[in-house]
Amino acid sequence: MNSRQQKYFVDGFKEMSRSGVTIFTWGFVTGIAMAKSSLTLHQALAMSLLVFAGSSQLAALPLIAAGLPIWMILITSFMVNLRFVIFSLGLQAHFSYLSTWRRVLLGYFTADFSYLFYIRRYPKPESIEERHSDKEQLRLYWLMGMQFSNWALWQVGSIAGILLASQIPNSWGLEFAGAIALLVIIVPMLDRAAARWAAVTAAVVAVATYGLPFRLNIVFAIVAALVVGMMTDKSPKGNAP
Amino acid sequence: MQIDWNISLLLIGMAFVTAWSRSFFLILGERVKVSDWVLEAIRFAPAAMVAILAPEIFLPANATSVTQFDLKLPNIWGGLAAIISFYLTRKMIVTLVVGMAVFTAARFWFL
Repeated sequence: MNSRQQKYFVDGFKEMSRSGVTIFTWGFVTGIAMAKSSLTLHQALAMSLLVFAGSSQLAALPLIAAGLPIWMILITSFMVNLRFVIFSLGLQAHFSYLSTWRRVLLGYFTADFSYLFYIRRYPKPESIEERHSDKEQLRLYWLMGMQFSNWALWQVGSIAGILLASQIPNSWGLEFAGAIALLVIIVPMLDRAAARWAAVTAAVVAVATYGLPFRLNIVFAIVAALVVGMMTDKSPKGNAP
Repeated sequence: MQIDWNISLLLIGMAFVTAWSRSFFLILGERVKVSDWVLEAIRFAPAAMVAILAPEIFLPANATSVTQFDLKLPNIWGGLAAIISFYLTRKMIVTLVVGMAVFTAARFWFL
């Protein structure tokens, strides 16, 4: 890492750390939920360190407790992670030039906030000429700085939650704090009318179809949100020729 | 320490699902060129996070269907209070405190 790359890495780290309270809270709440579930201490720690996907962990816990077969839990995990599949399309446009292993690692460490903050700062991928002249890959280092901050804050919060869970009574309703923390990050991202319509659609569809198996409600909600977002979008198409 | 192989297998599987879903299209590398209209459409991806969040606010924990929607649910009032205080103050801590306070008050009110 040269000094400019280092600067971008540190900048990315700082950018993500500004949302530190949210990431920590969300991790803490997930840690408590794991510790209070049917998992043992070691299993909860392993889940936190290996899986690194809060919403999919939270969705899996009741299914594990109910003794559902592994394949059903894995399908549910994938459905809850469907938004990441969409994010990976966005990442592909920016980072398809990296080696296979670096792409897989980059994908694994790109959670919600890393992707959304990255795409807000760099909406357009570099053209081939731009990339050839950009030997330092500063955007990549900025993203990696954010990923590192996100990963560290999340794991600290999650492991603290696992270890302190027995001290925290259920009656505090702390899991709701995680939902509020997430709200604070999502609301500012809905900066255009079309984005707000998409979000309202996603909320209504996700709630209305909640009973479906494998969390298929999320699939319907995302598809409906993208369609409504496109339909209500009045801004000039940035990529149009 | 006794190892439960079923859980171990599940956790490895879930880690694999994380890596696979997050690099789903990225893994294809330069073999695919994502068209512009697709990139336009996924600008609405933040809404996807709302799909995860909304049921936590509008339905009871461990709900199985939308029929369990109930205005006596403290989450709804806490959630609305949080949204309003965030719009007014734009402060994380204020939003968290107000949201949790209304949530807790609603829980005792509707008990």
